[in-house]
Amino acid sequence: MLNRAVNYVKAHRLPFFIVFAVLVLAFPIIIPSNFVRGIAVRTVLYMLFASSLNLINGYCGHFSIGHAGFMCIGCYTAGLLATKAGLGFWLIVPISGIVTSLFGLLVFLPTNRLSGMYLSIVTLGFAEIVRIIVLNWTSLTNGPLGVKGIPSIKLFGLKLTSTTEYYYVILFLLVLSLFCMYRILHSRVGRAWMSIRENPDAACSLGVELAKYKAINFVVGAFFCGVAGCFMAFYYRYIDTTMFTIDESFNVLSMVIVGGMGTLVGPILGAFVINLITETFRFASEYRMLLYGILIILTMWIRPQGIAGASNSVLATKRMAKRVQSAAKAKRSEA
Amino acid sequence: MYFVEQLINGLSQGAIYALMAIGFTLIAGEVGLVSFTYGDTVMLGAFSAYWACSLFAENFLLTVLFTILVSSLMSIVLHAVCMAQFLDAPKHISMICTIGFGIILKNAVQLIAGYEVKAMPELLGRSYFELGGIRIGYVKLYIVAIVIVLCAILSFLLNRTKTGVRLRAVSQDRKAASLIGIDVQRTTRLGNLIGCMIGGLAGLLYAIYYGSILPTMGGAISMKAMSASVLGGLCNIPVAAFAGLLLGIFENFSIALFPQGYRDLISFLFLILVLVFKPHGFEFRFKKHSRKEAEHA
Amino acid sequence: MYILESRKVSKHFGGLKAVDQVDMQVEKGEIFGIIGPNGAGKTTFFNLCAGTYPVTSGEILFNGANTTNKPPHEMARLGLARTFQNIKLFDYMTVEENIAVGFHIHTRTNVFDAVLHTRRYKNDEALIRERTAEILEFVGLTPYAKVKASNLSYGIQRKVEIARALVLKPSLLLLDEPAAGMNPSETQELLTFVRKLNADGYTIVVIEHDMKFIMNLCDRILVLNYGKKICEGTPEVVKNNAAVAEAYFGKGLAVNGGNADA
Repeated sequence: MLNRAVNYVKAHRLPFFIVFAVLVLAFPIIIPSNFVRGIAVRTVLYMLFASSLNLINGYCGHFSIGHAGFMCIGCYTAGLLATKAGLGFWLIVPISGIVTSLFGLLVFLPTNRLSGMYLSIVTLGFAEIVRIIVLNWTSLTNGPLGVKGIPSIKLFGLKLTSTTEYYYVILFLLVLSLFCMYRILHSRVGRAWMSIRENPDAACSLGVELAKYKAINFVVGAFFCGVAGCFMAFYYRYIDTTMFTIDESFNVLSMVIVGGMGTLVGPILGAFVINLITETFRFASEYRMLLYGILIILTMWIRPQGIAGASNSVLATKRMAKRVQSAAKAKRSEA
Repeated sequence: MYFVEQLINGLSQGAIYALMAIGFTLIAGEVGLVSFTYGDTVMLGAFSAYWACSLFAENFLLTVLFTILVSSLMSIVLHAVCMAQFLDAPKHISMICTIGFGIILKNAVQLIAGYEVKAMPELLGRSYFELGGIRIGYVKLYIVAIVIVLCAILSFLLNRTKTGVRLRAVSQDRKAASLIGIDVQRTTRLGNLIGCMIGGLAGLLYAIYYGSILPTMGGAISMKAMSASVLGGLCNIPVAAFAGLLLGIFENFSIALFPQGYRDLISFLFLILVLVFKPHGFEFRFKKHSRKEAEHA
Repeated sequence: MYILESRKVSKHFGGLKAVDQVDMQVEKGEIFGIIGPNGAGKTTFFNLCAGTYPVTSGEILFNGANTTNKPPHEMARLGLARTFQNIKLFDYMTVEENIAVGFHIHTRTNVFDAVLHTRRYKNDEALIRERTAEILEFVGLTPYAKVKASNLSYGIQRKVEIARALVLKPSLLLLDEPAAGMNPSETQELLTFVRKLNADGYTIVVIEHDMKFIMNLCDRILVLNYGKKICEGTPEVVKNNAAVAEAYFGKGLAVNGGNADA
């Protein structure tokens, strides 16, 4: 039944998109509650984080589970540059992106020869290393006290103060990033990435330099994460390492997976759904995480390719395993 | 003398890590899946020990039995939810499931036991002996002894029994094992069971050694078990155990070298260094899925 | 100068000698075959020439230059294309996209070009569009352009793989068991197709088990058994070679030099 709903939407893409775009743009005007607007800002921010992770995990065959490491770098770079060097938001955005992408390169280097599980474990290790170093390098980062007093965003000399204004900024960043991602994915670079994901041997035999393009993939994904991290620092005005734990990595990862890895719209949906659920159940805050865990497991059981994922994609093959097993069972019982 | 003290601390801590690494490797090799819920398995073991202490008035034997019981039940649920369906599916599906399961475990324990640190009663007594001016608790020696006994039992099970043969067959080549009539589902369930029981017992020892437990202790433990296991290529149990031991010793000695906060860093750096130089760890056994070379010989 | 030459090339996997001191020379413009019983090391040998595996000892020369141990993507740039025994298409990409990847070495669009849609991007994409349409026409696959590769029939998949390799504009084409799983009429089609490619200037080295195919197609043949070269020469020479017959049929039947028909 869910399948039919998804297929209906896919068949009527344009009208859905227009309605969606209008809702998104008019959102702060329609909903007067500042609390809800705050949730919206956070949700859109997560959409950008999830999209950046999706770029790494969904298109090049990597499976990074340590995204919080990149988030931490992006955030802290922005926070420190803002408080210690007094630079403005719009200047820091690209700097944050570049610094984080350098870290992306750093993370890639030892993972080049690794596959699958090992690569994932290393990404997790890296995220923790980053967090611990940032936590303990008190002279630079203020250690457990975090970075506070990050100024607000200035646009044409005017300080942005309301949640609505921040909403439009992050929306702008998201749309711009998605636009760039779309263009990259539909070019020689994107095709090289996907060829590596589908069949690295064949890709290599066709002249695709595996190491180079895997590295580029990490670098670009990390760049967009850095951009998002910069916004995060300027929105929350205060950051510390407790925001970048393993749980946070898993949080963003689950948004990508639940929404559909390997599609541009997947992480958007995933971030939306997960934030919707965690916010709706805020009143039952103790049970919130329990529900979250159950949601993840349910998604893997019912629709492992995620909401937006294609039913015939490699991610949906859980069902194949089930059919094979029941066939084997039938054979055993008649033997 | 400080050296000896740290060495003994390192050995006991290392013994616990070794046990965790063994359990983790067993599950990873057996089921073919890396379980991100392992740290929470250990945590559950620690908490069951804690609850057993109040239930059974600190009777060591009953505590052990209770821990084993709870871990076993958990492992059966874990297998049914996260592993049974996904043995042949892309690996990340079950990985996400174990992540979800771990979150549920952690929060369930938090709901039951609260968020604060819990002090663990001293089950193995407080007696110590003196050696060259320093006090060495007998607890530390008991822990090492218990781990050695458990390793011996496991080794016997894996190498000298029919069940062990089945376990090893499935971990080496699942398809071939099923072709000769081994029930893969049952065997992976058993492997998971043993691995989780070991994890639970490791949790028990962990609680005794450190004296305090937290529901959130699972995360760091997962990483340590993984680091040690990776050295053995995620499938070699003796190497993983040895790595766990080394990790414990190294961590204790590093207190002298590194500031307090950086200690956990050691295991992660260790992990990454190993993988940089030995991408598959020290595999002494041909593992079907990790060599592409001999594919078309 | 030979287009492809191997000098005493060996590949050991631990104790197993998969390829043992094999010498081979392929002349430019010929169709060269490699045959041998299963497990003789043919695909391993291909992999050594193409750079997929590093050699244990020996040298590989491509167009006179030493290319031993060069990685596959460099070999592709030098003009060596290959197909695989079990077809390696990009399953969830369409036929067009599969072929577009083949243009990787002929284009230079990078991330910035992609984002900004610079002239280089536009030129590259136009080139790919044109040439993809051409090659699909050439192999007769135009109706399948937008079909996902995993949805294609086996024979069509093979063609797509070869088309993809041709896009590299290689001077040498290595085909690994291209006729595997094909019925006689498909095999005949393939034979004609390979001959056409050869007439167009591609040097071709082909591994095959189908004897009729090899004997009718190749100018010269190399026979491997247990990793060693046991015969090299024209189809006539190979047909009448006792060692070859023994490799395929065992000692008992090698009475009249054996009949090489499958």
